[in-house]
Amino acid sequence: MNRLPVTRRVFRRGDGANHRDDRRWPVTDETSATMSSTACFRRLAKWLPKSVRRILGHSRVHPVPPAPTVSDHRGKEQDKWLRRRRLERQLHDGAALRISALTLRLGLLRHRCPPNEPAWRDRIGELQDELHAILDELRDVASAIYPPLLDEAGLGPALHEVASRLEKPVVVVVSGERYGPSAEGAAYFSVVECLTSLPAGAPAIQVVGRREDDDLVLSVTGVNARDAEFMDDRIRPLGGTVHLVDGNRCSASTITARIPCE
Amino acid sequence: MRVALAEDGALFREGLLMLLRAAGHEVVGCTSNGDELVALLKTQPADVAILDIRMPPEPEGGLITAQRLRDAHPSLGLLFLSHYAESHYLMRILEIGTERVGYRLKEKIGSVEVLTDTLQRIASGEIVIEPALAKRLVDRPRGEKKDVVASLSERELDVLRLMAEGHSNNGIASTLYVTPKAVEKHIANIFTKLGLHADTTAYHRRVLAVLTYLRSQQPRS
Repeated sequence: MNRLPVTRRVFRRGDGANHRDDRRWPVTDETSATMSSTACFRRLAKWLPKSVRRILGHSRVHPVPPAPTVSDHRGKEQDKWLRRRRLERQLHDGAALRISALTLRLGLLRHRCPPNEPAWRDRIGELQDELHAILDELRDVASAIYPPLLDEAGLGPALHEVASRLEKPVVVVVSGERYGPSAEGAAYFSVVECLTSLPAGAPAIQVVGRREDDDLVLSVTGVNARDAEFMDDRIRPLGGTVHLVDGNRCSASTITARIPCE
Repeated sequence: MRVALAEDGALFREGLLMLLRAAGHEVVGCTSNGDELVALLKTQPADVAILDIRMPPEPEGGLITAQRLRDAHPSLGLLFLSHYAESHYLMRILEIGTERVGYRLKEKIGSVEVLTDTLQRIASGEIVIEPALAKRLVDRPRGEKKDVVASLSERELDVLRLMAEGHSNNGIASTLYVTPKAVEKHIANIFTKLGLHADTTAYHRRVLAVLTYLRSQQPRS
């Protein structure tokens, strides 16, 4: 759809400085962010004399294409998570498997080295170690895209695994059922962000997740209140909601989120 | 040793087949999914079955197949291979069986010596656990267990790591160049410090107790 150039809203605080905080102090700087060219044309046409309008006729005024609905946005967001999951699978079934197979071929080569050449065996062993290091890096990349354990075993096991790798005390109580790739993806990355943003030595954190009707209801206790904003960025596009229950500015807050499952 | 193999990645399957043969093992069959492996083992006896965790039937074909195999052939050893070493899968595997089982990373069995050692330990009844996973469990205990594990001596930590890899007392003794009696003593000390009361002479229960202790969450306060 044709759109006019988007003018970013500028908001001013009391001190006159510009901020990109969309939720505060709106000033009337003009925006046409949501106005399509057709809508603009219609508005302008109102000011033209009737005769001119008749000449222009309605042929120039095309029917307005339907604006993207909430469910369109949600569909796009769900597609994003499916794409991430596909990419991870591609890594697993492609590059990672090839490299693993290469370590076996090197092992075979090492086995066939002449016995009077022990240095060759050592060098091949070093190459295999290097491939292991490369695979470790690929595993990190895959986990940042869409954790394979999340894909295969679900939210509970994936969060358990994250918790077991952190120095901080975390209790995860998430039912074993599946909630769909986008709800699980958004919930997982939101919680991981909450957990990793806490300083070492922070009090115990509790993560509870369960299904209520068609929603995944998540509650995270003992995290920073400001993490609610990051969670909101991930969860709202999926049609979900995020609430800060205990708004103590920077500590011991509970964030609850409700995410529709597919 | 007679080995059967199920892996859906052709490149890896062929590579493993060649390495197994080079190591002098008899490969009784090679399949690309779990169902074919179950069918194969109905007629072909084997000592150990090697299974990819992530293969058909989806999603965790290796685990489903292993459960069927354990029910049908209780003495068959099971070696699980994966691209990931996760404690979640370790616990799932130990639910299938705590004897003659192994869990290793695919790229870590790429030598004749390691492959043969892994298969022999499984066939002799041991639990074989990927060292990187065992190390992670010991080095990063959860919550209050951190202080308990930190109270162990260096030598006791070495013993704990090897226990978490599933080694027997004799295996630990030969790795650390100490007598089995010394290992027993270290294990008794470790169990006292961790507050575990398992029978230290029962190998499988002992390994299970240690792994469960290291992985379990801190109780809710």
